[in-house]
Order: sequence, then C-alpha cells, then structure tokens
Amino acid sequence: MAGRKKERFVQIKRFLTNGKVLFGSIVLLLLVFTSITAPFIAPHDPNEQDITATKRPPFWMGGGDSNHILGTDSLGRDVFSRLLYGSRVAMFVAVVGTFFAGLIGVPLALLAGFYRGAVDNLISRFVDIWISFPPILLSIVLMAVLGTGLTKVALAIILVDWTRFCRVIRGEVFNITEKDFILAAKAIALSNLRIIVKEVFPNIVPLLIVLVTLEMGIAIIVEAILSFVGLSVEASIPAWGQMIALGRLYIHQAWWIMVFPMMCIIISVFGLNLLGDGLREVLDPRLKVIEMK
Amino acid sequence: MNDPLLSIKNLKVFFHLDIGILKAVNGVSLDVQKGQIVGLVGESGGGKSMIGLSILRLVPEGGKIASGKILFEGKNLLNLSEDEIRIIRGSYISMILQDPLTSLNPAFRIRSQIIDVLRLHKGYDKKESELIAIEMLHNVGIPDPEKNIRKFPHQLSGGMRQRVVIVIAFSCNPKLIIADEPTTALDVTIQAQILRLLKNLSIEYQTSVLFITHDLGVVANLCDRVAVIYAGEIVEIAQTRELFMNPRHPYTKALFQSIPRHDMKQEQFYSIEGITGTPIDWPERCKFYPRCSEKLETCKHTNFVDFVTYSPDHLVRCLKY
Repeated sequence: MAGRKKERFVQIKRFLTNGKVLFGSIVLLLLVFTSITAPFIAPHDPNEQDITATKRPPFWMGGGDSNHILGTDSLGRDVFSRLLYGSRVAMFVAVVGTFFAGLIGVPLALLAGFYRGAVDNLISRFVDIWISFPPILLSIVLMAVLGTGLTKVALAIILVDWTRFCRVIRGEVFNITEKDFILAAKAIALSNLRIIVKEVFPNIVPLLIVLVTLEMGIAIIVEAILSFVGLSVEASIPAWGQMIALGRLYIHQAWWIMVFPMMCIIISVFGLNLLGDGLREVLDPRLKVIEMK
Repeated sequence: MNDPLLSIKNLKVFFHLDIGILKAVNGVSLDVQKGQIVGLVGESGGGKSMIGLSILRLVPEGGKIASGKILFEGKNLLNLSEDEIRIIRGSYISMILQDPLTSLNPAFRIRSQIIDVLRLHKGYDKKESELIAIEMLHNVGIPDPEKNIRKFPHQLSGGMRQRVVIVIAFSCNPKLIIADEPTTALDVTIQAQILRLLKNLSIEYQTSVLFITHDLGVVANLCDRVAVIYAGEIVEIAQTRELFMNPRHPYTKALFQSIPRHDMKQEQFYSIEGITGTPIDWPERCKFYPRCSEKLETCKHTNFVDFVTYSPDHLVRCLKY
C-alpha cells in the first residue's frame, strides 16, 4: 500500500505547486479566518463612533496613528475593524448563496441533461425566461420585496444565480451522456437514478468545483452592489459595499474609506477566480496524463 | 438444428424525422446459434449498430422499433417490461462498444467498475468480486492485474482498456455478447490480439457473439457466419467460408474488391462509386441499385426484392439470381 500513499503525496504536491491554486487558497483561507475571528481580532467595535477622530488617515500618513491602522471613516469608525466584519457578510453570502444556488441548479441540470426531450425543454425554457431578467435588476427587485437582512441577501443571490449552475452543468451533462460509458451502463442494467448519481455526477465534479469558486466571487460582487445601493444588510452590520457607498462622498478628502473595501472585494474575487482556474488545471484528467508520463 | 439462441425476425427500426422517415433497419432477419460468432458487415450508417442496440432495447431517442420480433431463448425481447429487459441486460446479453476511450467511466478506477457489475448481477461481496476481477484481468492478458486494477482508465493504453471492457462484458457469463466494432479504434497488432481473445473467450464460455464491423478482413478468422448489410437491409448471408469463396451480391463483391492488398499499386485501389446516403423515404426496390456495377434494366422497376437461395444456407437478395 506504499504506492497508494505515494500517489496521494503526488496529488497534494500537484495542488501546492500550482501558483494559482496556492494564491487562491490563501485568499480563501484568509477570508474564512477573518470572518470567523472578526470579533476577537478587530481592534475596535465596528460601529463605535468617535466624533473627535473622524476621517483619520492610515497610520503611515501624517495625522494617522496606530490606534486606527487603516484610518477612520466620516463617523470616526475604525476602517480596519469594519473591513474584518465586512468579510463576514461577504463570506456568508458567498458560501450560503453558492451552496443553495448549486443545490437547486445542479439536480435540475442533471435531469435536463440526462432525460433530454420534454424534461430538458421544460427546465431549459424556464431557465431562459429566468435569465432574461437582468440579474442586478432582479436582485434589486427581490430585495425591495423581501426587505433587508443577511439571509434575505443570500436568498436573492440564490434566486438569481441558480440558473448559471443549471445552464453550465446541463451542457456538461449533455457531453457526458454522449459518451459510450453511459450506454455501457445502460447495457449492464443500471437504473437511471444510479447512472445519474454514480456515473454522471462524479464526472461533473471538476467543473462544479470551478463553478463554485467563480460563483462565490460573483456572490461577493452582487452583495457589494446591493449594499452599495443600500438594499443589503441592515445599516448596523458593516458590509464592504456600504463602506464604498459612504466613502464615495469623501473620495477627495479621505480616499481610504472607499479604497480599502474596494481592494478587499477585488482581491477576494480575483483570488477566488484564480483558485477556480488553477483547480481546473489540476483536476483535468487529460492534463494529469501528460504529467504522469 | 436446435432453436437458435437469438432470432431476429423482420426487425424494422424507423426514425421519424421532420424531413421524412429514416428506415435505419428495414426488415432484418438473423439467427445466432448457441456458441456461434455471427458477423454483421456493412458500411458506416448501414444500420448495423442500430440492430445491436435494438436487441437490448437501447435505441436512441427518436428511433422506434416499428415492427418485428427479437426472440432470445424463445422470449420476445420487444414484449418484455422495463424490469424484465433489465434482467436480460448485462446478465444474459452484454455489449462491447467501439471506443475503449469512452466506454469506461473516467472518474473511477478499473477495480470499482468491474466489481460493481459482479456485485449487481452475481451478488458477490466486495472481496470475492475483487479476486474474480483480478483473475479475469489475468486471463485476458493484463500484466500485473493486482496493480493495474487500481488504475484509472486514462492510465491504461487503448488495448488494455478494451481488455477491461471485455472483462466487464464477460464477467457475468452472458449467453450473448454484442460487439459493436470493438477493434476499430485500435491499431492493427492490438486488433489481432483482441480478436483472438474474443474468440478464445467465446469458446471457453460457450458465449455467442454478434460481431458488428465494417471490416471484412476482421470477419474472416473470427466468425462462423456472416451477414452483409446495406442501407438497413441484409443483402447476403452465408457461412464465412462460403461467402469468402463465393460472394454473390454485387455489394459483397465490391466490398471484397475494396480490401487493399499488398501487391496493389496505389492507382489500383478500388472504391465503390457514390456514398450510401441516408435512407430517408427511399423506394422499396434494391437499395444498392444506384451504385451497382452490375445493375439490370429490371432493377429499376422491381419494387420488392426477396432473398434467393443461391445454395443451401447461402441467401442473396439480388435480381440477378
């Protein structure tokens, strides 16, 4: 069994030597870490206002101090602490939104792609109609109807983004069901359910992983847009989009209020996209063959 | 002779398309005796694969078995319920498909793919199945089966993969195997090995084989009996030796002529004029007529051509005889 151990080692090594995967995982781990530990590592209460210290610059600039390392906003709240808390909203929306969007989209895609014909027509036309609403507009309308709140943002994102899972995965299921091994599975009398779960699904997992990372990035952006227009979480919960909306007003006097949350969004989304791209490289069995020989 | 293991009677498989009815299989009758290897030879698009798929009732969507009977051990497979046909699939009749690259699931190791079949159809437990699987892999000439059984399909060569597919097909000891161009995707030396293996296994397990191919050369050493199919119809059927010594139908003759020989110059390579075409709304006369080099004036006007018994056990569907 030494061979098996070695094989596993080779696999882990392949993950770690891929720069994109490495960078992406670090960003993701950092996000997870800050969103869990925000209350313990944040130097200030994110909503604590200090009227005597508004629009303080970051510590390295004149007038800044180490008490507020990334400065304060127009109400004297600590930018760094608000960023840490903001990552909780981003991560919650990314994880919950993506998970449930996938939970709706993937089974429908499997059904449509496997049974085709009338089933596919029904599901695909429904998706087509759903997509024909502009996504941002749809989520804004949904939020207006649902009201603000963290779970409601996640719900809006699920309702907007499940179609992406459905569409992309359906195409892949089409490809896979064309392959002879599906015909072979039918020829050895496996049931349809078993073919879908045991033969088709494992083959879409690589694509699904990539899609999940991309989708998490999209969820973060959608949440930021919604909180930018004030239709996301309640004002008492710090979110990156809100910070940008506030910072926009003072962009000439205090750029840091807006720039830091923007950088958080950019790095998060960029990292998640790189992770998806890198995972695609690592998980693609065709690329694996070349490497092993 | 005893009752045949498989008897296809006047099978018709039609596809109803927007532009007309595509008669993929048009009135095919064929017997396969126990332990016999029967070849089904014809050009691409001739309907040979559709016959194989009809036997397991796996005709792709859009296609319909319009009429006919497929008797397997006396039972008409076309009348069985979905549950009953599933008992037949895999346990009594199994299939070897053309492309070993795609007929194994890339997401699983060889081990689980063989074991799953054994557990499903034979009820063995994991350990027993693994031992049987290793022994069978050994029998089909896979070196170091204990090691190779833990590999993924993409880690094996095409020939090895086809051996694995053969193991899966034979693993439940079926009575009939439908081999749909099992060697087409392989290179010639591997082809020969796989054919020999198929033949040996068929003798060893007393399994009948319906061997579908476009390559007459492959048929020669393997099959007991050969049916030549053109545009969904059998045009000639005979014992292999008889067919090779004495081909009667112009299409069969043309197929023999198109086999290249080493002493030919390039200019001498023969090919049949024209293409098969898609048999949509074709008249019921001889389908080969437009391409035939020996056509008669009467061919054009005769609506239905029946088989002529050229010699006992040698049927030809041609107006010349």
